[in-house]
Amino acid sequence: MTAARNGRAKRHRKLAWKLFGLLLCVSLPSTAANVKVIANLSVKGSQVSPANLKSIFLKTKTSLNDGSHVEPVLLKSGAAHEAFVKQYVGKTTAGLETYYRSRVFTGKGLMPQRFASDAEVVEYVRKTKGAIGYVTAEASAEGVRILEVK
Amino acid sequence: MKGLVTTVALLAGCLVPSLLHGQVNFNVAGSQIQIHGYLSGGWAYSSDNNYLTMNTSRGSFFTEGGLNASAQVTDRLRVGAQVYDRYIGDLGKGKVYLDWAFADYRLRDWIGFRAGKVKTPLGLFNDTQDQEFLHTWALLPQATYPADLRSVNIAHAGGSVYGNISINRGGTLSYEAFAGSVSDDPRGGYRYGIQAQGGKLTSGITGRVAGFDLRWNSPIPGLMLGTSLAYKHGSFQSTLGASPRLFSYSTTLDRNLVFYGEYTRGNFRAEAEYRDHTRRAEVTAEIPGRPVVRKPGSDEPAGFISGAYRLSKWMEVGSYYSHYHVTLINPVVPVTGPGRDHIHDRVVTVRFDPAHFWDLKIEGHFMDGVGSPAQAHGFYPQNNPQGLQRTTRMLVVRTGWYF
Repeated sequence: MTAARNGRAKRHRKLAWKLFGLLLCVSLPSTAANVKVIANLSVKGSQVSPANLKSIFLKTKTSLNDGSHVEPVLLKSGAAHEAFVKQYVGKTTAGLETYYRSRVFTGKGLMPQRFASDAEVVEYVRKTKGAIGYVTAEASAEGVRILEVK
Repeated sequence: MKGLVTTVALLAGCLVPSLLHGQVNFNVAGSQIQIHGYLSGGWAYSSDNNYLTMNTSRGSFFTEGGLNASAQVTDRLRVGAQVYDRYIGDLGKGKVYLDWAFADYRLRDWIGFRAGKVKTPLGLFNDTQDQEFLHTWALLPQATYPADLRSVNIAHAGGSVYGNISINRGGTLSYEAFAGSVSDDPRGGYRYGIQAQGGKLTSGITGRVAGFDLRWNSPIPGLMLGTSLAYKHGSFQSTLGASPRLFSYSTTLDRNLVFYGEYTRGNFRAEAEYRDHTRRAEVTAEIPGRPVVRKPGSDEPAGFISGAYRLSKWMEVGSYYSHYHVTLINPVVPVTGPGRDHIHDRVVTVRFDPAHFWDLKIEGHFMDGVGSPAQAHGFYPQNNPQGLQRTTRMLVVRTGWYF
């Protein structure tokens, strides 16, 4: 009797873990899948780490390991912008705006390039050496490199 | 009235470029140039004492603004400058200051150099204390960021070495070491404080500063901790009271050790800062053959703790408690009266952001104590001939435009 109960409890725990895993699989890519990180073809490699991506968009990292210069490019607003800033930069959009402005008004940096649409971001990234940006997952990314965040 | 006219005119002037947001970026010979500016106007009304050299007990307008241009000359080299102007009672009085102007060469991410007039990093907000739109508050905690001492704290002419170091899973470290000379401001609170003790300067004030700032962006999301240390030196010559006899003042120790932290989670933000400020000086009365030396000083622990929550895109609420204490050692002029050794300020604020280039703040201050007049923390006998009361309640309404 007890053995049967233990077996049932074990199966329930397994099922709960499977459901939890399934939820993770469903929820994590759904946020990530909203956004696609893109780069100019001059940027080598097909991956970028979350830490490096954050540093690039906070402008504390301005060059890659090979010494080549990188420049962040942002969307001005929208769901993709909010998802990217929250997930990869770790700030609210208002917080990131304040951060950039504090750099501008203390002379520590220029405001990064920002565009209203995916097409404008892709176009700027395509023609600007070292540019790294993001667009909605469905946007066309012709002529740019898609980076996996890993 | 003059302050009101200036406020309205300057705010109207700032609104145009704000509306033309996209027209301040352009390229010259392949170099990107950006022009940014801000303008803020406010009104302060206090119950008892006049504050920050304004006639706040009757209601007083104040303004400040800045305009900068920066150019990215190469991937590693950037140059820029900002001018700044303010009209806060007797502070600034419309004088245009060169706020910062420097060349920045970033050799690697972990090391870069700035040379020129550079903003001094000290604590959370020293280098951004003028830009009200960056903060929730209409007035920053005056215990740590006294508006009257702005010009002697904000920047130095010299240079700094800075960088960012990734410590992998341990987060990132940002550092900046700096040294240089500090400007004398004839329209600043430092001189006002000397005058408050009956001093009349017969020379300019010379000053220099050196120190560092270290920030750790921890691997815990939203948590940043930091520390700063600055050593200053200042000297000047003056007479005291009706006596024509000269005395010279020279710092023997001026150390400001700061610890601070910031935590953000979603729309909530908490900040705290503690300063241990120690000042010692030597005052020499220039009596031929028999110089008289006195060694005044002060210990001034100060700090604040704050919390703010953004309710929506256009509204934020917050509160802070600002604590300043002063213990005078061998004062040149004895200080007596109620609340002369501290200023405790409890503040509540609501901030509105009607547009992405415009903010409006309404703030209540509930202050206990007036501090020592020599230490320039807002309350001066010159502006309060009726005598200073122990408590002050103040309403500040402030709006700002920026682009």
